[in-house]
Amino acid sequence: MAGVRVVELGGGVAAPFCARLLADQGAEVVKLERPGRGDPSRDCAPFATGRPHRDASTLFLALNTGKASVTLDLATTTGREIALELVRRADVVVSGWRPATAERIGLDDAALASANGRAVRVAVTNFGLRGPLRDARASELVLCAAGGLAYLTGEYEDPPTKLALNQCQYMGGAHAVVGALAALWHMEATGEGQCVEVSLQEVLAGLLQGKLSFYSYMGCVHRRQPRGRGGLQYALMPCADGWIAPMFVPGANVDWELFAAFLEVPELLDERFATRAGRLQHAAELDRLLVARLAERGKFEWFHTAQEWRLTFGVAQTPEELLACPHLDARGFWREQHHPVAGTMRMPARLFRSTEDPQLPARPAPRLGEHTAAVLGELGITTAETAALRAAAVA
Amino acid sequence: MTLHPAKAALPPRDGPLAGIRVIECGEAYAVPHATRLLADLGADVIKVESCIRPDVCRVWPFPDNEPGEQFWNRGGIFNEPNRNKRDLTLDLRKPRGVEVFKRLVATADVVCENYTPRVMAQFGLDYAALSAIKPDLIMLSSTGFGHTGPWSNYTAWGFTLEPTAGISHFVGRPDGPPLRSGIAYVDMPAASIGAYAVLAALRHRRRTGRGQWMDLAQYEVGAAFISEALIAAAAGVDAGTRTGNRHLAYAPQGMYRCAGNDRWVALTVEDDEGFAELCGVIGRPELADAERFASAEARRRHHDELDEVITAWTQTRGAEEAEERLRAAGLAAAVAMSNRDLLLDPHLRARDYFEPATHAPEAGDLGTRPYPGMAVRLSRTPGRVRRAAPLLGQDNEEILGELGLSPEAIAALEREGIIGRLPAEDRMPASQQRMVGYDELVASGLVTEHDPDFEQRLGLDSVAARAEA
Repeated sequence: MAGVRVVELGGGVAAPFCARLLADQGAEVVKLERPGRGDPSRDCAPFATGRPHRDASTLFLALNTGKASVTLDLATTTGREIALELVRRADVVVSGWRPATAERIGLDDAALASANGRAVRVAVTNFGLRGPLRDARASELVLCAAGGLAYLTGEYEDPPTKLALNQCQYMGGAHAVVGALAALWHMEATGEGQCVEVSLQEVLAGLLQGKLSFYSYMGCVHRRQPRGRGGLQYALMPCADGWIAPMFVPGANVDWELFAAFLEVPELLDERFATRAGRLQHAAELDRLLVARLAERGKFEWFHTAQEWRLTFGVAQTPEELLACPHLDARGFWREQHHPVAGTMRMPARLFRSTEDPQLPARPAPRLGEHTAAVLGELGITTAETAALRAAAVA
Repeated sequence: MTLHPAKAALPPRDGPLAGIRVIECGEAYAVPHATRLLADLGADVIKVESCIRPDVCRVWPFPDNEPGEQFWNRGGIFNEPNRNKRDLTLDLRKPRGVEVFKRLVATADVVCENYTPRVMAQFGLDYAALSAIKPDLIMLSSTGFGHTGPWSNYTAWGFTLEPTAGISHFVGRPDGPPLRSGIAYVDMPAASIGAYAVLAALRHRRRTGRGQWMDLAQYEVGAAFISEALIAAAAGVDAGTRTGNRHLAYAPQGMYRCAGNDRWVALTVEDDEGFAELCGVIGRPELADAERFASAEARRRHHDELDEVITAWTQTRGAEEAEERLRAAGLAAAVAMSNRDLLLDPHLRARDYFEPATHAPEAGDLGTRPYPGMAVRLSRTPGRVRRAAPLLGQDNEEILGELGLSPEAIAALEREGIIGRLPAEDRMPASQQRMVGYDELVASGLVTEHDPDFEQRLGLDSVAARAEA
């Protein structure tokens, strides 16, 4: 992405993650932030410093590596003019505002398009740019509900349950960048820019892995799944020191004898358990046998020995255990970055390996306004002028 | 920057990737959803399956819960991510199958595969072999754990990777076990990141003429999606754990029970003004001034009490009414949408989100059904649902004909069992197909409700009419 210029507006999680994925490939991303406050994610705990600091939110550090930060009050005429000048020089603009906010500021899609017709304008929104809900507010939990994932997640009797941390917004950003790159592909061939409209609700509703067809094919409202249906397909199971995921694919032929031999539980070979129907019918007893056996060993022992038997098991790991994972280490998953506030940090770096890796230098997330003078300088605004803008709280 | 000669600014209707050919050797979702995103945007995606081993998702649910004569062509879990693709069956264990595959690769821009690391090499189809045929080939190898490292030969599914990647650590009640999401979750981050990797590689090829091989470990993508927790843990700071539906800062936040069968509304109050609005909506304005609720921190301390107060209001109302009144007050709220809610949602309908696809007659009475539309909407080159998911081997003759094979050669391939349109009986026995009656589905709790009149509710007749128009 060397040579691709990106302007990021509005902050949050999904739009910054989209822009970070562009930065990961070498795009130059300029992030516009509110003077004094910055992107709201700067306020999100936990902080790498252990106590609140605008430059040390771990969420902000994750979402903004490799970007430049410019502070600009977009409610002022000067601030908006400077933003539009950056838009004119950009190939891609990624915004995370609600549509009404973008219109109020005067940087909605029409304004961006008239400033730069060849730019790819990515509008990351909760519910889209049009339709009755376009300006409705949302949080991670609300997105999880509105997109259909919450209703499917959680224990059977519990309320619909949120996914981990900021998954819905990460998913939104990861899909937005697909649209951004497709539109960039078109623009670089034709010179034509366009709007990439992202409704996070729509992204999420497209990730339900066929659950929609339970209704459109059969009229069935698909619910969170009850336990005690053989235990093997859905639930994590307790063992001596945590939880493991002894997974068999529902559609595949289960090699039950292999599984019984691996677990060394001869009762599993009882004819009641020989078929899937039988295992479902005697699920409670099966669960009892499995839980008793699994309690005899630790989770990593089960995980590794199962994998040696070519049985697909997972293991419930904590963040600390991931940090100690020899596999991630061997693959060079981590990268060290030095940050002036957070110090030397270990960051998840590459999302994939490539024979054409861009070999970018490690650049930590920017401090608030760290690049204001440099970026405004490129626009011909002098250091003295920038200082005056700062004094007036415009920059 | 130098560009290749500009293509005619053509195919806006079919999306910006028209003219790009992608070969998919994938199953389930981690690669098929990635190639779905590319196909939706216009790429010519050829899905390569084999009769010996069709995509594992060619299973339940079936229309009207009937497997029909060709159950493998009727399953909803397969049909959703595989629309807009063509399907070719090839037995890659046989030299003639490998030969045809190589001819196909010579015409392609991208290969996306999700076999375990040894498989493509065993077929003689790893990147070294394929790039000898097509030097600027882009190839994405998406595996559970990647092609290097001590766990590289471990196997994985989206379900097993969610706990392994640390994600389940953050799903569920604080006093309960870690949970998995209701989908094979890690497949979806891996898929979107896979599509992003392919598009970045296409641009790189256009600028430099160079292809590349990409080694994507789904485990790593999953872990990267909880980066904020990993960075905290690495800094020696408490990375947190499961919080149920609560937020670390905002309060109240939760999923509140409404009137009806398993109906819920999600609510997040982001600030003190929002809390005052909430108190007004639920008819308890005095609580806005109560000291124990005066700040987010105070409300977090008294969250259980607030949850009771809010539930007292929501449980006497329908979820839609609660959602509408909370939203009208400017609060972040949404019904916990079921598959039915989504398909009937007025907002999504106003946006024409769901798109119809009409299935081939071999799929029986599947006919025309609604499917999720574009994940992202491009204003100038939007792409669309052009075609329903393919039957197994549906496009064998067409694709092989394009490669220059004569009808006789194609017939010979069929005789030799290299191509075909029927799954091997021993690998996908019809008798193993799940046939659970509606009553049992509801009684067992797998399904909340069954609507016998769902076709009318969805207006499937008018969906079909729209598809024809």
